[in-house]
Amino acid sequence: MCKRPTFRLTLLTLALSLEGAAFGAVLAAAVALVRAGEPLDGTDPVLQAEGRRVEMIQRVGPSVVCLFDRNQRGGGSGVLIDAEGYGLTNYHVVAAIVEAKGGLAGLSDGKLYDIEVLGTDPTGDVAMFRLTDAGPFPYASLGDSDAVRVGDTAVVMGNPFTLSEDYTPSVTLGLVTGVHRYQKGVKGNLTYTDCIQVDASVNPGNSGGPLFNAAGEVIGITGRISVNTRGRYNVGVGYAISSNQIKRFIPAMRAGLLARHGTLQATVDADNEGRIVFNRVAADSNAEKAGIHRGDRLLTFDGVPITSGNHYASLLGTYPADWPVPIEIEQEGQRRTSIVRLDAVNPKLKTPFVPDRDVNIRAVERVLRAFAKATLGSADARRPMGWKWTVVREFTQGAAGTAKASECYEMSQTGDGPVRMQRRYEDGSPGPMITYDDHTATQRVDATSEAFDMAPDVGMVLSSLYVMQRWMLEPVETIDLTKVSHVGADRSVGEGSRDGAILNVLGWPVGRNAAAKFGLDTQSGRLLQLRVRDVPSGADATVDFLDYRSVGGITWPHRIEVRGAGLEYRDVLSNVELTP
Amino acid sequence: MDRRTNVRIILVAPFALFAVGITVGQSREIDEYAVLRASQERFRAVAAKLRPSLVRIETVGGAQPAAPAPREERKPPDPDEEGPPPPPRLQNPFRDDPGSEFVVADGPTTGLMYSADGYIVTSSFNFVREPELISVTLADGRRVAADLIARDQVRKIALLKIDASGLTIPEWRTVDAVQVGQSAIALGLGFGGSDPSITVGIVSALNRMRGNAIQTDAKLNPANYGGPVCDIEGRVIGICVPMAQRAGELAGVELYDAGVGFAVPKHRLDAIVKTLRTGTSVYRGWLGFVIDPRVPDAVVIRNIAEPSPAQAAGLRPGDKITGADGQPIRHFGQLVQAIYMIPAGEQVVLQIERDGVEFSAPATLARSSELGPLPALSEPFDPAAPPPPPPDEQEEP
Amino acid sequence: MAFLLAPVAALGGGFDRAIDAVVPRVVKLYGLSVGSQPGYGTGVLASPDGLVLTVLSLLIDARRVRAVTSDGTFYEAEVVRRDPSRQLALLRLKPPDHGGEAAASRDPVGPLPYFDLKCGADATREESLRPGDWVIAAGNPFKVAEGAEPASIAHGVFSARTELDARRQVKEFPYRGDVLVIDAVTSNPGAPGSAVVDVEGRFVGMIGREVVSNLTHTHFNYAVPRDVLCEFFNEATDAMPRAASAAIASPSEGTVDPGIRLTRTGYRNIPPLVDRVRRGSPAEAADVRKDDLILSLNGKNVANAEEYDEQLRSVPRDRPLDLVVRRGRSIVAIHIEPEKQ
Repeated sequence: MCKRPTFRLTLLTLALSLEGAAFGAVLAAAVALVRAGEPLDGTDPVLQAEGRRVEMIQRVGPSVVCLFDRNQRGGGSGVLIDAEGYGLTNYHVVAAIVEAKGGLAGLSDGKLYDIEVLGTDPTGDVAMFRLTDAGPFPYASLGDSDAVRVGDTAVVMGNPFTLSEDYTPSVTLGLVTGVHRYQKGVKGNLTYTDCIQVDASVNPGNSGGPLFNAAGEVIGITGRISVNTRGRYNVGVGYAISSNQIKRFIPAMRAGLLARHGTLQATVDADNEGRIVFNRVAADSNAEKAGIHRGDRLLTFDGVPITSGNHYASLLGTYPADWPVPIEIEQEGQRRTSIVRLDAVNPKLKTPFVPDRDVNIRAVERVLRAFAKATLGSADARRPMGWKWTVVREFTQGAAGTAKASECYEMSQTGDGPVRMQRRYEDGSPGPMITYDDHTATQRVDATSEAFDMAPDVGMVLSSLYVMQRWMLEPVETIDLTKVSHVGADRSVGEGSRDGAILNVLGWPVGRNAAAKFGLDTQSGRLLQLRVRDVPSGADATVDFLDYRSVGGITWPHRIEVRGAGLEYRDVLSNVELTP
Repeated sequence: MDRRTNVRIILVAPFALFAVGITVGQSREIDEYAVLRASQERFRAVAAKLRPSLVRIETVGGAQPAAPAPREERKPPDPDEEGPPPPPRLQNPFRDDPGSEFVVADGPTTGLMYSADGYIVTSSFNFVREPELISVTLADGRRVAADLIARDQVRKIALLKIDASGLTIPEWRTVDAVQVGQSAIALGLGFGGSDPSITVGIVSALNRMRGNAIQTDAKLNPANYGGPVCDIEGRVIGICVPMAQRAGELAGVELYDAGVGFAVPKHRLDAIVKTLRTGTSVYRGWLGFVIDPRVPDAVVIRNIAEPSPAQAAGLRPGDKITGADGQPIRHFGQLVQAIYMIPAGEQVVLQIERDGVEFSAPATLARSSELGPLPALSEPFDPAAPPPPPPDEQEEP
Repeated sequence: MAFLLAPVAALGGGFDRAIDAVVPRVVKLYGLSVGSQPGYGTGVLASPDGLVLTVLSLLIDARRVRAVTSDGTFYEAEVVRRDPSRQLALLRLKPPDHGGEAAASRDPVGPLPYFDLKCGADATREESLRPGDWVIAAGNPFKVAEGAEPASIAHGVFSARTELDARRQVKEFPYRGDVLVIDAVTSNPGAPGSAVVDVEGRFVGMIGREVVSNLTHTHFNYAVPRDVLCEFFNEATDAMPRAASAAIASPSEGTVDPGIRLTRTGYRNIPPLVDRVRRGSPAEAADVRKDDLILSLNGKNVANAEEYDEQLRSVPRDRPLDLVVRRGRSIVAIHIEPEKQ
């Protein structure tokens, strides 16, 4: 283990770097005190503003691509969002490419690259593609579109009128002129919900290209314009799908899936006093199952107070199918919030969408690699062969009606062996020992003085956790992924769901009868959530992994919360040991 | 650690805090409102700096270019239809049609003094009507008659000459010193008045129209065609002209005010003026063949005019064009893009595939007036009918 | 120097003052749609109790014209005055009739945010707005904004002040006065009536009716200047609209006759060539000669004899004439003093 650097050495290094910065800052401060109105020099604020803009465009411009079909026909734009060459564009740009079987992307280096279309979101008019060559490629990062305000800088890049002969994008500048706009689509597709309106020049050919903010972050994908009688030309009203909406669909698109949008199967209208009220709730919908009825007043949708039917439709259109959304209603004078998972909208397609298994596997591997890196520090780190910790389990809703009970266990597993749960009573004496073996999918209770009735949910949870351990133990390349699929995106529903992390969801059958969905954070790679369902009984449980802490270089959750039908408890871990 | 180092740390530490304070403070102090107000003064300073070199051009007489097709009552187009708008259909594939249904109005237009001996550059758009009289009003109010020396139909530049002294020429900035994203200020005198109109945008791209144009999103239109596009310090970076990737003197005017505009940069302008000064006009170049629209993913010659550059180059019906000047060609639009900016008299090297054999065929483009008729074909085929538009213009993408 | 490269927004945030001033002071209008004219538009709040300035369009002829303020409140609007020569209209907001309650019992409208159009009686044409100044427009093009949603903005630079004159051959558009040319696209359905402010938030004009030139088929992007709006707004609210601009004098006042006779061959569209100069006329005194080709009269180009006549008719009797003619290869400016009465 390395020695820590000495305090003195650290301070010296710090001082030297600060000294340099200090000198520079004082010089710059003196220079900046020169008044404006002098001949244009490097300190002129107008020149400086221009310089910042030029620098931003030079920095992110190379991430913008010109998209064509394989005969280099047609014209659309796209933007690369990671170094491996994954990119975003409009669905209507790639729809033609998919039919022509393959397309091309022109990059600012002047070369054409083959592209593969991955998953698509036809309802929301977004799609993902990938440069099939090896990278690394220049890319741009996605910004927070909810932070965008009217009057902000809007920079549009793309290939209007297929003017680019060297594949460098055309850049146009304007302002954000409207936010949270709603532009209805064509036959249910290409609807732009909660979109950003700009007056930067957007013309045919710009479709699929990025909208940047002043910092050079992608805040939208431009794809629609309003036109007047002069023809299909920019008239100062362009629309971009917001980046925050797109982020919810990226996991499914990366995985080569058809990303469906969500619906509540319920409509609202304003009553005579201007209050928003549900006027229709479809039978058998998730909303109905959550207890929402016709006549209930809609207060907030995902934390946002709803002001009109349009507002509701516009906001609803930004979510994927199965997304958990807290809905606050007023029902018979009482306010309550239910978390409802949205039903699915099936887009009308000319040809049915066929998911590509290879694309999906690649997405699964990517998620597992990120998971390994997030947990172990790197994909190549030494994996723990065993683990051990003490867990205090607090039941908030117990099995067999027990409320607020608390139990203590010592849990451990070594190598490939079974998971052991040793009950400890408050006086330290041991209770029953439960062992769970995934290979045989059996659990045994070491009967001493008590019979231990284990609910099926607990078994599912244990076996899923076991699966997670196996991922930890084995390098990604050796894991048998034939049963694993990337099934799309989800959101961890914590306090303030609007800020809940977007998750990559891997689907995995566990045990004999259960299906598990592992939700891993798209940002950090960590496992945040697990949803398990026992197919025969229909019982399901959700597990949240929280309070990640470092244990000998491995990042591990120290709090696990389980919620299921009739079961709710919290595990707080301590004395975590991960044995190499 | 020795004492010196210790002392150094002590001395630097408060300084360091000061520096951090300045750094953090500075980055929040950029007042965008003040920048906007200062930029307004800069735009006016640019107009004032350029004014002495701007001329107002007025013409008398002349006719409208060839009558466009009658204009049907316009419905608003379907906004959800995507893809570039289809270019207007041409009556005859080899004729120098106006290229647009626009009608040129009278009214003043803009020019820029090119040299102190009285040469003025402007846009050939302003001379589509072939006027009888050209009058130029200088910034100091002097009004002089001007001669039209020659026109470059491809880069849309016209050269005038006046006989006057005490002329001011502007400062230029060459394209290698221009960057995408910098301000672009276009000035024009087309609204009448003695002060130029000002429109502000940015440089959108540096290399467009086969290197003949810088692209800007400033609002370019007949009021400023022929005038300068300048940088924030009042140096001219190009002359505004309408341009499009197809033939026609008015091609490109449909992009007026659309935020896609073109300016011819200095090095190109110098080369153009060098030719025009001799009185030699530059014309659109044609090859003189029509393609077979029945072949979807290749460019195959269907018929060749006699005489024509295609004939002189030894091309035959059935030949497949696979490349032009080193660029691979997979469909007709690419061929157009490869040759639309090549004037008559200049050469393109075509890559041809015939009966499985590939060979190069250099061809010198010619004016449309130098092309003969297309011979009759055994199968009925109307060469005047425009080829059906490529699939991306027809279907909903 | 990390801070010099700090990613701070340029051209963003700087317009906040203007946006905050203009958006609350426009109303979205909904009325009658006729043919290609849309049934929606914008209006500018001109008084705290609900006077609204807008363009004269068919939408205000609806039986019920609705106006929505930026906070989402719905009003009805009635027409107070129409001005066909300037193509402007003044509306007044009334509280909407919800349950059939009597008009008198409804709450009065206001106080609403508004732009003060009371430019003094001696309002001059002098504008503080200069070419190169940024402007922000707020309105409802394409009715993108619904209900309480904020109006759309657009930004651009004031390009030039010019006349919307006959030369542009705009169909059915009587207004021939000054307009502010803006380099934003303003000619969109729903945009007419949008308020335009400068970067400080001061009101400078209102986007006028969509104008498409019959001649060039191009849309023209402009705003009606504040001083013209002030004139309209401050006129006495009686039934008859004021006569059009004094620049166009009525023929009965008598027009000038400098003593020039042009070549007339009976064909249309011939250039204005001087055929004869009357002896003893002001033109002779000013040395107008036979075969002079008249290029412009009082600063307006005349392309043919008809235009020359039309221009001449608009000049009152006792005013001088400034001609610019081509004589041989030179261009000559001639000033003709009127005949002494």
